[in-house]
Amino acid sequence: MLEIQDLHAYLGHLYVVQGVSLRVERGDVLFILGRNGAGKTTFLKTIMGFINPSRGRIFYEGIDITSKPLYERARMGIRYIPDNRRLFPTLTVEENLLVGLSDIHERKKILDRLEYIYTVFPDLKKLRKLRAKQLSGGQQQMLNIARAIAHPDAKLFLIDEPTEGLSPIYASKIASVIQDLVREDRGVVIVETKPWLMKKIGGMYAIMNNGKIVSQGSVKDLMSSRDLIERYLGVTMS
Amino acid sequence: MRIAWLAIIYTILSLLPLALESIGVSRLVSILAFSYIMSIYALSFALLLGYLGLLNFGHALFFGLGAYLTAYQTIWWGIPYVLVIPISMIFGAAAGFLLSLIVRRAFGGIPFAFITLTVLLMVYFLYTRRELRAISGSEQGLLIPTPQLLTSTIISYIPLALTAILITASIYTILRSGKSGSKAGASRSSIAIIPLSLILMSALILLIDSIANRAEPLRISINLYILSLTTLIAVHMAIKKILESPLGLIWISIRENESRAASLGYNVFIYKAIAMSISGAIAAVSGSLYAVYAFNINPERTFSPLLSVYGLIYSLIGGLYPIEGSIIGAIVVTIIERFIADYAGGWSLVFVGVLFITIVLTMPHGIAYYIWNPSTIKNTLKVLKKAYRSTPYKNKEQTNPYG
Amino acid sequence: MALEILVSAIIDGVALGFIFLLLSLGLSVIFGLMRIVNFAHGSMFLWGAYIGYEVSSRTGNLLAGILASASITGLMGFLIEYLLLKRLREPLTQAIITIGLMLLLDRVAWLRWGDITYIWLPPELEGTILLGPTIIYKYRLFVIVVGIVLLIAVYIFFNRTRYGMIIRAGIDDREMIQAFGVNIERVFTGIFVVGSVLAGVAGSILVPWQGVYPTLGINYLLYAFAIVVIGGVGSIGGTMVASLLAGLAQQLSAYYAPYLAEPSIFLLMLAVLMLRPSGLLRV
Repeated sequence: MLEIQDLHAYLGHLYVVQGVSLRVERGDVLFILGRNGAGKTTFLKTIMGFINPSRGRIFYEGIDITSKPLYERARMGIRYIPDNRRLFPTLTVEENLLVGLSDIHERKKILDRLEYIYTVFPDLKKLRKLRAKQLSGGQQQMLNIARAIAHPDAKLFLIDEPTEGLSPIYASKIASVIQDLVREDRGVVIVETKPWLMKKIGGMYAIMNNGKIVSQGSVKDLMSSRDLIERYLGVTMS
Repeated sequence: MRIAWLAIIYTILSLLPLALESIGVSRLVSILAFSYIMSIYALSFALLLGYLGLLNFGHALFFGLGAYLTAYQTIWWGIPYVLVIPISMIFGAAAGFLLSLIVRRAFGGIPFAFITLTVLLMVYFLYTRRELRAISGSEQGLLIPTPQLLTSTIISYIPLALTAILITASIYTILRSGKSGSKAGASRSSIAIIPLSLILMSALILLIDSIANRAEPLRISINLYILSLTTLIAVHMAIKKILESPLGLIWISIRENESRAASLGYNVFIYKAIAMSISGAIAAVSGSLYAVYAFNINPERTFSPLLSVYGLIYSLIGGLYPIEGSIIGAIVVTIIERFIADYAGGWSLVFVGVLFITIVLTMPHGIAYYIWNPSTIKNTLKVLKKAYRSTPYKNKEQTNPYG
Repeated sequence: MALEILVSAIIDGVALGFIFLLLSLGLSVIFGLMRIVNFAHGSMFLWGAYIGYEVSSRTGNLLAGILASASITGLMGFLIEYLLLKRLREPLTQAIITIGLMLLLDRVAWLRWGDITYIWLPPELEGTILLGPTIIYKYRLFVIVVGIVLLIAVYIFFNRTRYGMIIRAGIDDREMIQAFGVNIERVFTGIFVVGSVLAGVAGSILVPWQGVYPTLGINYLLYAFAIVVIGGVGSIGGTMVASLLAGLAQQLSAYYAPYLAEPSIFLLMLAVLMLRPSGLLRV
């Protein structure tokens, strides 16, 4: 559903993404790994349309979306879940969710989706009248993800470090939400380096180093290759 | 060597009145003098906006301060004008520091712009009050006697002295390189400078002679022209030096990322306050020159918020980077405004408005950008066409120019 | 005795506050969402006032004047945004464009209407009501009523409708809102038109009270800037509170300390900014 051909992108004057080609199919999970500054976040932002690529093509469901503006990509069903959350702080929790549903016009459908979100995240139902800035870090991250998966037509999720700085309870909750997405045949591209999470979800991986993909394969293979992990991820497997 | 050529250009520019007079447009001399004065003001504004990201809507405060201080010093205390400018500068710097203290809790972004605007408005309201007519001159304004400096020929000796220095310096370099045998290139341009300077020197003597024989108004306007040109060049060189110094680099790092600069141990407030003081001193100089240029000042023309807005107009129409853009912006805007005012009467502001819009739409980087990169002129129309054809909103990293 | 003056001053202050609110709300939202320091906003106010005067004095109907100025300033706002501002989304450049427009529009108005102050009051709203010893002008009461109705309408728009929610979300993070499929360009154009209409309506409502003269636009623009900063840039609730405070400050000082009437709003702003640089209600 997502195909990237030789993508190059700059962040200001910095040459960050230096020629990346990838494919993601429905029901796939692709873990983007790599050290800080490898260009992972910039890569996700370029797919979403926050950053215009200097070269290369992005195809989504067979359509060339390289020159499509951010909002059109969102309407086609791509969702970006930023690592720094970027909620709408002065809006209430429920309004944050409604923003994600703002192109649906039937009232019943909107209520259905809200109900669905509240069954996935029961905590948010209790908090729905609070402003987003009043939530705790973990609750904010729940909302960040809930807001993105609220729309029924969202098909591809670009998730940036979803479990960063979260307690284990929240992190495993997020892992199970991602597993559900995959089960529903949606595509997920996720920047995450926690080995336990990768083991739990499975799927494919791609290691980025200095803006390029240096290694690709299935997570299972990666887990058996101590060498790759130590070289590019700087984590010691236990 | 670069500085020698700059001196030559300066000398040629100071001879411009002679040329303008011979082709019968001596009126332009005083317009150009005014545009140089506004250039000094524009430089001080662009320094804050371009290098610290401070949008100072109260900038006219410094200008007005310089103008009124000049009035008080010449009318009440009879201080010679040579001293008036440095004294005004000191007060301008002090005012810049004082204003920094007032805005210290909101030193940047929109709050800064509006606190400074408010301080300006307070002074403006104070000065337009009838009770303070004695010190503000109210609507009629304060009349400033023309300082002696401007009725004599002393000022035109500055470029003359400069050419003399140039000649001595060139001869000195030639002699020295003759001894050591190196730096042949440098001595070649030194050789070129000597005859050029001699020609300019004789032209300058002609100028001084003609100034001495002119009717007083014309003599004053030529003197004012040379004085403001000299000040402009001096201020420009000083700013250039400051921007290249460590201080300038710290300013830029503060503009780029204030919290990082603070975490590196720089006292951000002090550096901003220094910039405000320098900018205030320079703007006070321009106000001081304006006072003798207009010889009649009132709050409407000095402490006006519109003058602050004009700082922004000059800087953006000329272009913020490099800082010379603001000089070009000020000269272009001032001259065009004068001509429009002559020919369009009541409609002049309508045309000025249309002009501003047209310039920023066709030359978004400022006029100076097209002077530095002439090849881009051709692209201007293309840029405009593109702007009107496609959706312009580009998704780039979100930056907030107001902080 | 002193109480009657106080009551009159408060009524006048609240009435003026509602006019300030109409004027500065658009400016604040344009500020918060589009990051434009809109110098042309005062000109919209001025033109709204002149058009309101022309139409209502000829038809003898205040409402006709208000509707006419709403539609014409709305059209002007649309043209400005669509033909000029949309072309270059660069805040400082846009500020220059609006400065150019301000010079141009104010001057064209001056060429058309000159230095005279025009005032027209509908006959049915002339005169005063006596409330015990207090004298209340009918028209100022009318302004308050209209103001309350509009205040409720604005509140409902921002808090109960989809568009209001999107605008508030956009003020929080105008890039992220697009990642949920919102075409921010449309929102920009819409909000600029609505802001211009509100300014125009405010101008036409002011005419029967204070009349319209050439420097009205720039005077009220400065007030509106101050109010927006007092309330906190882009804060809708803050702008509401600040408008009423500013109206009261100005009218109270006009009654009790006339020499403070002109600078009162700016003094208020200075005080607020010294204590809370981000504005009254912004955190």
